[in-house]
This record gives sequence, C-alpha cells and structure tokens, in this order.
Amino acid sequence: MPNITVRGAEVKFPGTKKHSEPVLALSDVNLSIPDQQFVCLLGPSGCGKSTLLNLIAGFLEPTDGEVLVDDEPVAGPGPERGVVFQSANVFPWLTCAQNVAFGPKLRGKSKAEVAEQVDHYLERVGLLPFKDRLPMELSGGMRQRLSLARVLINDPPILLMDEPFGALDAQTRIIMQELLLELWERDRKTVIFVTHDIDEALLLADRVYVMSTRPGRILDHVDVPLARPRNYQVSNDKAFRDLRQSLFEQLHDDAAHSANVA
Amino acid sequence: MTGMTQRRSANSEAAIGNRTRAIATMSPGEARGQNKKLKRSGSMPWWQRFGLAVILPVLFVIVWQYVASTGSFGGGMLPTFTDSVEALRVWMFGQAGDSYFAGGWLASLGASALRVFSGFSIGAVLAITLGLFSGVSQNVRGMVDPFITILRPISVTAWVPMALIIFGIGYAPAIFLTALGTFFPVYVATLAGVRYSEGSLVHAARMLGANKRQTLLRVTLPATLPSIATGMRVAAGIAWTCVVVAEMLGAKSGLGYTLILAYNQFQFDYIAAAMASIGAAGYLTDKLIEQLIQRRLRWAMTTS
Repeated sequence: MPNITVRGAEVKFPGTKKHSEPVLALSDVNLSIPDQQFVCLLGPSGCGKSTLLNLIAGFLEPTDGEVLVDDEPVAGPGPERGVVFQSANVFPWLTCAQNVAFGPKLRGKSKAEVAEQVDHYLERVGLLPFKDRLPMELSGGMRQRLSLARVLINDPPILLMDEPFGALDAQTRIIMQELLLELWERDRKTVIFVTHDIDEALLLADRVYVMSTRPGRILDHVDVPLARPRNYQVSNDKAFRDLRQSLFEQLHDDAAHSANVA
Repeated sequence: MTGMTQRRSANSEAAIGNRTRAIATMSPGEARGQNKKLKRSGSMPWWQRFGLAVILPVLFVIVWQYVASTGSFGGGMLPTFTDSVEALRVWMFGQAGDSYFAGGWLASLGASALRVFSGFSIGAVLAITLGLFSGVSQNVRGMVDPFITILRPISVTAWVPMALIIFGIGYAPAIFLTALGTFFPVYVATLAGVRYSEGSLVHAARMLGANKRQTLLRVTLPATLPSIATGMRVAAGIAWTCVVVAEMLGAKSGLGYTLILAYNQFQFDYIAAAMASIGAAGYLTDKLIEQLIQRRLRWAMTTS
C-alpha cells in the first residue's frame, strides 16, 4: 500500500550570485496521499508544484522536513515512482520499442523476454504500428504517449506527471487526457499530476491541491465528487462548473494579492 | 522593405521545414526571391554545380603551369603541374629503374595510414574515456582538467624533439604525436557534450531504474556521441598534420618522409605529388568518418 507523506517540506535554492537572496521555492508543505488516489497539484507557474513533484520523484532533497513513500524516506529516484516529464524526454537514439524496453532491460531481461510486453504497452498507447520508428519521426503527442508507455511497463504503483500535456495542442490534449483516464481506470495507480489548467485538474483528479507563489505553499484542497469513469462530457456538469468557478476565484484572488504585494 | 520581409519568411520556413544540412548548404541566392516555393540545394542541376566547383581549380592549375614553366617564381625550381602529375604516376605505377621513388606510393600511403589509424584510435579512446569521467564526476574533472589545460597550449609540433628522444626513429613517435594531437579536440568535445546532455535524459534514466554505471553507458555516452563525432572529425584533420610532421623528422617511411626526402634530393615534382597524396588521404578519412556518423547518428540530424 504505497502512500505518500510530505511533512513540513521546505526547499531553499541558494542565490546564484554573491549578493542575491536565497529563493524559498517551497515552504512548510504537508501532504498525505493514500494509495490509488488521483491527485492534481494546481497553481500558477513559479508556485513550486514541479519542485514538490521533484521531491517525491527523488530528483531533489528537501532542505527541511521529510518526504516519505510507504513510511520510508525517499532516497533518489526509482522505478517504483514513474515520472512523465513536460517534454517527453524519450531517448532520441532508440526506436519506440527500444525506448519502452529500456526499463526491463536494465534489470537484465533479454530482448526476447520483453518483446511481448513491449508490444502490449505500445498497443495500449496506440503506438504499435510505429514500434521501429525513431522519436524524431513522431508528433509531440505520440512522443508523450511513448514516454507514458516506457514508464507503465515498469508497473510503478506511483505515477508522477509534470504538466505532461502542457505543450500539446488543445485537441491532442483532450485525447491524451482521456487515454490517461482510461489507463488509470484499469490500473488504479497513485497519480500526482501537476497542472496550471483548472479544467484538466477537475477532469482527472479525485482531489485538487491549490498552490500559491512566493513562497510556494499549499493554500487549500478540494475534493472532486464527479462520478467515474469520466470523459470530456463531464465539463457540462453543474458540479464541474461550480468547482471551476470557485477554483478560478481562489487562484485569481491569490494572483491579485501577490501582484499587489510585489 | 517588403523584399526583406519575404526573404526572412522564406528563411524561417526553411528552418522549420528542412533539416539543418539543407539550410547549411543553401546559398543566399537560393533563399532570395523564392518567397512561395523554396528551392532546395538539390534542385541545382548537376552540370551547374560541377561547372561552378571546377572554375577555381582549373584556374589554379593554369596559373601554376604558366608560372612554373616561365621560371619566374622560386628561382626557377618550382615544378610544373604536368611534371608533378608525371611524378605521381611514376611514384604510383613506375618500375624500379624509373626513379628512386618508383612504385613506392602504396607502401608510403600504407605506412602513414597505419600511423594515423593507430594514433587516432589510441588518442580518441583515451579522450572519450577521460572526457566522460570528467563530465560526470566533479572530482575527476577537478583533478584532470587543470593538468590538461596546462598541457594543451603546447602545440604538437613542439613535442616532436621530445618524442624523438623518448621513442627514437620509426613508428612510435609518429603514433605518439598523432594520439596527442587527437586527444585534445576529442577530450574537449566529449566533456562539453557530457555537460550539455546531463540533466533531463539522465533524470529519465534514473527514474526508470538505471544505476550510475548503466546511466553512463546507456544514456550519457550515446547522448554525447554527436559531440564526440564532431570532435573526431576535427581530430582526423589534425592527425594527418601530426603524422606528416612526425614522418618528416623522425621516420624512414610514409608520405611525410617522402615529402622531405624529395626536398633533400631536389626532386621537387615529388613534393607536389606527396602534397596531393596527403590531401587526398585526409579528404578520404574525413568522408569515411562522415559516412560512419551519418549511419549511426541519424537521430541527431534534425533541428528539433
């Protein structure tokens, strides 16, 4: 039962030049995410939502506080916490099939052993016809599906997604969101999904954490009571529109407030 | 003003639509005035490209032949073009009685090529290995980099006497100097490549479960290959320079040895023949490496 606990986490980046002040990217963040929950971190750019994700991924260490997965402190990245980055970050010299086989092959599995699994996961993200292509021959959306497949083959109980659809056009984004929902309905992984898009957060999440800037911190959280399985039609629900309105006001007030302070 | 904008939009179209190579080979004349349909470099007819390329070499040969036959340069000792071609023919295909050099061309080329290949391989392998470790480890970089920074300004030619003292006459000093000349550009390119490719792809490898050794071999090394390849192309040119210098001063075979021997024996037409052979060998080496790069690094050939 992997649950994620963040207690009093603080991240302070040292100033780059002699006289510049250190930057407080995250301050006193507390989170407790149960197994199989789909969580969105919502906030404007600079609110530290990616920093928080990097803490859980193990790319970054907190300067204060602690990050626990399964009651164990996080010590570096690992295959039980799959990450999907904003830019696909697939290996450009490997074909689609080789990219997906990357994880299993690290654990000493032979090409023949993983071939069937690779086909299965390429199929699930709709890339099987492209298995021998290089990433440069794919569109942005296809590359992002590839980066999802190479993580899913590791079967991680936790999936960390850092604005994965932020660079895609609106139509492709909807298709990707629905694909993600479909995959999640089958596997029920714990997902932490970073976004600045209110609609995206409400469409995907069980719970939305609203974050604020300077310093990055969690303002509030909202539970999304919409029925599952969901698809894009859910945005017509009254409950969806009410939640969107209240989240919008919350983010707007906070942005106006910090604009005045600055 | 409008012409300016059109030209600029034609260029940006090219930047988006084509590969870097196409842009690099596109002449300004092609980009201009083609605001709707963009001409590619391949669309110039072969006879036009050939005609343009041939003008300067032909002019060069005519001037050379004229100047050399009038004897107005170099105290009348400048070999003519036709004499030099004849010397090359005898050197390549001549019988033992024709000249001191007759028939020795292939052996000379072979000796030089073997030295270039050995020295280049040794230098490149050392440079890539050390460059990779310097790139990923601050401790290794802190130790190795200052030492290399001190040694690098000493040109390879300055090393020649020391190399002859250490290794004597023959293959060894030439291989040493070639390895040395190869090492620096490849090391610098590898280090720069590693530092540039660190970050996102390394993060991706780590979260997929790669340990440090696996990350180095399966991600950092392949990600650095385009940079290493560039360094190796630069180094190949330097390697031929090194081998010629080394053979002129410390060998009894090879193209560089022939070059200096022809000078000492007043056979100046063989100097030109040797120069042409060295140029051709360097050109072929570069083409060979380019072919290898294109086959292995297709993924790195796009702008995106």
